Amino acid sequence: MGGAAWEAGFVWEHFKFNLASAMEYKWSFVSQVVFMVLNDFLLLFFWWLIFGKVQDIGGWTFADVIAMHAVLAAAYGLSVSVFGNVNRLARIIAEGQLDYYLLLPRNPLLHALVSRSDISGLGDAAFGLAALCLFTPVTWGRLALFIAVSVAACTVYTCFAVITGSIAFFIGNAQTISLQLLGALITFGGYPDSIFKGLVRAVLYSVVPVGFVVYLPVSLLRNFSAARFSGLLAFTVAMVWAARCLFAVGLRRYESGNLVSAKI
Amino acid sequence: MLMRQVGDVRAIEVSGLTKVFEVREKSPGLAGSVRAIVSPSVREVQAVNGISFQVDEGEMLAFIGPNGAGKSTTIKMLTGILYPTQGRATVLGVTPWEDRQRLAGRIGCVFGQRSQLWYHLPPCDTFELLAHVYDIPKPVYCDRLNMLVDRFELGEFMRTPVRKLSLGQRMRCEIAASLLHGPRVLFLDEPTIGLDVVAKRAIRELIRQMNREEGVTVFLTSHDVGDMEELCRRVMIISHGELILDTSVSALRRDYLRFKIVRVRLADAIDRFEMRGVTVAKHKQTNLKLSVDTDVASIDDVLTELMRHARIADITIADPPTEQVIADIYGRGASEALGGR
Amino acid sequence: MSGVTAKYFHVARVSMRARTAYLADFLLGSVFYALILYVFVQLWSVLGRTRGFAVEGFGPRELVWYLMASEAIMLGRARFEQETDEEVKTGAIAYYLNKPYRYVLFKLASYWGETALKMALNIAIGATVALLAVGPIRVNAAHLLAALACAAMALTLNFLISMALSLSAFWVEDTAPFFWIYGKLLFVLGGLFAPMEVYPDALARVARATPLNYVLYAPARLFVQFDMDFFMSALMMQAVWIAALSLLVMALYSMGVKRLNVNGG
Repeated sequence: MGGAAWEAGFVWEHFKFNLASAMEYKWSFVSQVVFMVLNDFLLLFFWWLIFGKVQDIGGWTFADVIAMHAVLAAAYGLSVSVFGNVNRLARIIAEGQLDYYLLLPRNPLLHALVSRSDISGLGDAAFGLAALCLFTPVTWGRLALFIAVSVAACTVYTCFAVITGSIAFFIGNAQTISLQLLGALITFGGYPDSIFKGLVRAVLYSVVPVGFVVYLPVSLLRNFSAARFSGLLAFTVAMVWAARCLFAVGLRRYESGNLVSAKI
Repeated sequence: MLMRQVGDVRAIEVSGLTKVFEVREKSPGLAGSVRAIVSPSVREVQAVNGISFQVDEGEMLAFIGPNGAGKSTTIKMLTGILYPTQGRATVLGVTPWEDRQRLAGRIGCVFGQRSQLWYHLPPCDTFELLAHVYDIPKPVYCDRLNMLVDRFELGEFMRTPVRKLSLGQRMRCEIAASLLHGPRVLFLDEPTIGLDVVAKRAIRELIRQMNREEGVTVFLTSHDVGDMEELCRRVMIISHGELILDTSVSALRRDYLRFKIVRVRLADAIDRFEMRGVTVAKHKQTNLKLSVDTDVASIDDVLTELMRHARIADITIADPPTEQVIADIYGRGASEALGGR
Repeated sequence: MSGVTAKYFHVARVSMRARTAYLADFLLGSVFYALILYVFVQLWSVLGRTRGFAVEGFGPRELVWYLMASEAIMLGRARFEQETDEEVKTGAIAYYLNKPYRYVLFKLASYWGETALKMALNIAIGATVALLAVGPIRVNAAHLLAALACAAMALTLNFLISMALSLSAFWVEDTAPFFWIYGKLLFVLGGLFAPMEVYPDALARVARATPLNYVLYAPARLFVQFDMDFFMSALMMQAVWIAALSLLVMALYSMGVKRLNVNGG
């Protein structure tokens, strides 16, 4: 019992299950995916206006900005479609819904995350792939790199969401704060880091890890370097470790029954 | 590893289990919130206070108590969701809060508030998912599923979305789902709530069957006295965090019955009837309904007193319903109840 | 104040109070608002220093204040589509059967109650952030009033468009996609992030032909760069669109309610 393969299989089973149940409502499924694809393409409209007037913004070309949105969408889309409860972890903890997962013989964090799937995420992921292929030069190597960095970025985002959601173990109703932090990450992730400087830049490469979800992946797509790629992987691993630790500590607190909004 | 000989390891063993909650008190308003962060005032709430009991494999017991008595806290500790402040417990030889995931594969839970079934999907889908959750090998799962579908008569609605099922059908699916992985201990919380009489009877029969054939230990919490009386041979009553009674259901009625209900029709109407130890529940001209505390006044005395006022045309002396017995016990509390008669 | 007007004013006030209960949600939006302003301060400054980037009449400072105004309106709009959807689906809307204008005016009063509050807060927050970030723009009291008047017309225009979309609930199962599309069109044709001056001519012409342009671009631009001609024409176009949409909304309401009667709700 145990092991990464076993857990991966569990995630895959749940994803298939969620997908199958979403496809029961065909119109809803298709419209969610299509609308998200359209939505994401529309976001590029603004950049199309800007790059109609300039060649680059602090070294970032239109292709770079598109790659940035592609990675962001792919990472976010993968995260919410596989780990559908990722943005709602704080609420699940605060409302005591973790009990249900604790009564089952599976890793409660993983189980809570995969119990739901946000189908619009598939639209995001589809957009990411499409935008990259349609508007930037693509080779098989570049595509493979895109998938690799997107998976890493997805992991970082998911872990970041777990960390912010776990705040609920300590201060009770953290759903709003959690959403603010996640929203900030998504917002900043839509703009090239060449426009930020100083303290803000430092924050974007640490506390709100936009740098590792978006900027570093894009720089790798621009020109690959093994050193920076290892840096991304190292940060990803660190995030996974941090997320699991924080959740475990929080869970211990949950099991003491002494949460701020405990339901006795 | 767990190697069990018959009678070697009890299903549940609890000793001195205690749970004290630290509740942060917060005064209302902004000032209160600030104060709560700077110097929080913590109040201790004793939810469970040193309870001890043992349950053998295959037993069916009722675990009852008024709201806030510590029932759900105890169950949470037995299922590993909560860890105690003091005391020990083992379920199937495993300490629940230390080895929760392993225990979870061997116990089943049906809790009233939270449904295991996915609302928009048919039950068969939930069962399949549970097979993955519990890692049940395919052939084992198929056999087990067929048996449960047969036994619980789920065949005709296995493919109907759960939201379209009646409460009774849903409950049958819930209990079947909780038995899918062949648990040794089943925790049931209000399994018949909201069901009509026929459905209640069906559910109880199914639980009885599973206990008979598979020897599943049943730990039942229910406010429905019928559940207790029809399913369980043993009852534990918890009140204010303490186990105030641990006895058989038959002994409960026999030994703790102290009130009698006396319905009398007199030949002539009387204005009032007063007597120590007697409560007049209803008085309409010639008809009286009395509740007699037999600790204070014997039936003999009551009849004598009645006959002093008027002749008796008709009389019925009956036991109060079990609900009343239990409510009475809740009211009396630990020391009195344990003192017995 | 006549009896009828007093009643609607009361409705607006009640709506304003009820919505403040959702403070947490509003604060969430405010943080986003401040964040997006900050990001654009950075973006416009960098672009302002980039060769080749020139927007007629708009320097980086003006562009930031433009965004402040357009986002204030975008985020300040009260959303009532879910309510209306429910009222149509449950048939509660039929209570206003014989007085269609009553329903629309009731909804308008309730909309303005919430919108006025959110706008006031947005203006306060947005102005603070913009002032701290890029400093003040040249504007005098008269221009400010003019811009506010234009904004008030713009928000009313938004109400009517939203109302028309909402009333499609009489015929359509789910109106949410319409509102999603409306939002996206506002973004593109209304000039949310950038004024028409940034757009290529052809697209700008198309945008100006739609009412959405008068929901965001007109008031925001007026605020940043006032000129009398533009003010007059904008006000006139807003009035025209408001009149046209009012007729549309009334027509939709009557048709819808008739359908409700025929089908039994």
